Amino acid sequence: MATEPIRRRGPLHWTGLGKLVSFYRYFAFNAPKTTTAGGMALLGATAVAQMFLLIRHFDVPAYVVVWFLLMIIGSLLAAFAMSVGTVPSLTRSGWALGSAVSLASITMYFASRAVGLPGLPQMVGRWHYPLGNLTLAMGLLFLALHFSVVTGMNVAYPRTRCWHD
Amino acid sequence: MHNDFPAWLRIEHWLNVLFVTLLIRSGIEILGTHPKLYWRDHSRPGTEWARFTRKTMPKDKLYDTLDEEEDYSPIVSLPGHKKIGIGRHWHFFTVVGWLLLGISYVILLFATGQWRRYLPTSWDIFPAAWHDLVTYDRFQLPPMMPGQPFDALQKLTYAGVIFVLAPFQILTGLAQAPALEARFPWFVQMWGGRQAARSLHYLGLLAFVVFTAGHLMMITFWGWPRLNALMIFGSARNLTLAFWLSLAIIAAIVAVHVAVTVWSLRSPRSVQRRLGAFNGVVKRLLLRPCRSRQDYPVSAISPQHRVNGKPPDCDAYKIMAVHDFANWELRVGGLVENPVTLTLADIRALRGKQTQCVLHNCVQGWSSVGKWGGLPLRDLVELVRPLPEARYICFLTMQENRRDEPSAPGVGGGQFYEVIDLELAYYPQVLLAYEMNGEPLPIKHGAPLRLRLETQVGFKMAKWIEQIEFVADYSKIGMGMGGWREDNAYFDKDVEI
Repeated sequence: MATEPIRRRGPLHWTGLGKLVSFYRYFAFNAPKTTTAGGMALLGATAVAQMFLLIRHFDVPAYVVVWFLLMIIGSLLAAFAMSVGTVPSLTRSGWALGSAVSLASITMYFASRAVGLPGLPQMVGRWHYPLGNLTLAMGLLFLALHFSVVTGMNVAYPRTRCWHD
Repeated sequence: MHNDFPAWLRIEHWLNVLFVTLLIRSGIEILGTHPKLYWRDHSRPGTEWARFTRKTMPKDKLYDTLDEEEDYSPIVSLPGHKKIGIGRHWHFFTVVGWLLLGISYVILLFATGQWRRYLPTSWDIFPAAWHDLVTYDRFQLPPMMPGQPFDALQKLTYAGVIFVLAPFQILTGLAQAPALEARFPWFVQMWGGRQAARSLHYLGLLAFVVFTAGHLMMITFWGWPRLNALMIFGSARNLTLAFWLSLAIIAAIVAVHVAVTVWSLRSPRSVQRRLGAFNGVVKRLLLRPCRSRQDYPVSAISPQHRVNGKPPDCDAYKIMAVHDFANWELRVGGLVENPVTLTLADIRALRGKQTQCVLHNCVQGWSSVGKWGGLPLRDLVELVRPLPEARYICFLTMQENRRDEPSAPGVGGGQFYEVIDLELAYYPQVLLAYEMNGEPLPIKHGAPLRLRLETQVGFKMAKWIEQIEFVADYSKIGMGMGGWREDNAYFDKDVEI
């Protein structure tokens, strides 16, 4: 039998991160459709939350409306691309777009509440807004899921594990 | 309802913490012996949906399932370091305690009216729980329910854990017991099969871990001293003392874990004897009466049956194998009136072949369905006529353990043997198998003869048998624990679960 090698020297060893990485690599899942469905559901939920935000706050500055529309279209496009198994590059782009949308959504969340945005001074300090917090949670969960796919803990459709044992 | 918690409820709460944490750690130890989860009963290599190992098996040589075992740290598993035998003792010992605790808890809940604390009585709780969820999403704490010490969402969660998750864990655990599976095949099919039950059981374990994390987080947010005072004194008083006492109780629980881990790693034989004696009584009472009634359709036969234990490597065995075991002989003796020596042809001629299509359960957790053909053991018993003092049957095999027992490192080897109670020979579907799936028994699965004992886990089903002895006592055989695995890997002798 063989055990995947873990570096015993270098920064991973000095910082103790090696043990953490080693622990992480004890987990591997082979549920590509569930993983992709989970990612699509998170993006779908993000799109729905952004739609609610747009409908409720249609009187915000035009650039924010455009931002919401971009977020909604980006989320839906990413979810669609992730579901296309026949073109691997398109599927990968879907995941990347999903992460980009999530990252943008998270950045906007913190920027609007911590610093403030032009024409939206009322958002500063509004950490208790449920829909905003929901989009933050969805974004973080999607990034974590994508990280698990990129690092090999999960596989996403249409890829499958080639475990022979 | 009065907010105060009665003494019995508080005591049972803390005992529950101890039992559940012991169950989780010993459960992880059991997982480590075959750290892969499947949905289908075939457990075909590569079809698992989850694996918790960094090992990959070789493609160019025979490996067996013992090579796949993982060595988990004692921090997460009880006792750790590939001691599934001891992990099983702790799991079954603790589960009996947890079951008794749970039964008394539910009885007392309903007898004292405390059930209203946890069981919703109105559909209004669902919109209230949704409102609570939105409030948490605001990073705020929702209001408590009138006259109760927690909110609607918490009440629903407690109801789910007590009345859904806990019974779910008990039932999916039982669905992995070979004796129950053999007696009630519909019960395991109800869960989608043996492997689905195993997967669901570990998802349930994960649910307990997530609940515990959320529970601790909620206690922290809502006020650790006050809530712990409720669970220590029964009411919100002496908050400072409650804070320190809560830490002391948690430290005591950790100390119990450390103590049982150290005991298990330093004196595994002592743990095996003490817990095994208790667990053995429970198993004999509850599971021994189960008789196998399996009859799987041929279409259910697994395409591949995993290998457990490596075939004999000696020249004598190889020469016999080359000649299709024509010159192999089975010696049957000991405390019998009519000792015999039988060839494979003699065994085939003794009686018409009995076949059975059944689910195989390995102690490690994997399974497969196979069709076995051979001589019912009771026919051999009737032929040799055991003396009145004979109580056990010892199967001596050609398997050499020095080269295939990674679970018992450092052990000098010796021939594999197993002991079963004589009474089991009279059970239905107990077979000396010389065929598998309509073909002569393959070498890797025990040729020329192996035992099939469908109400117990796989390691009891000795392979490559060369001698059968009827004995009154097994304390002088090997290390006296009832089998090679029992001697060296601290397994329990009776393994109906």
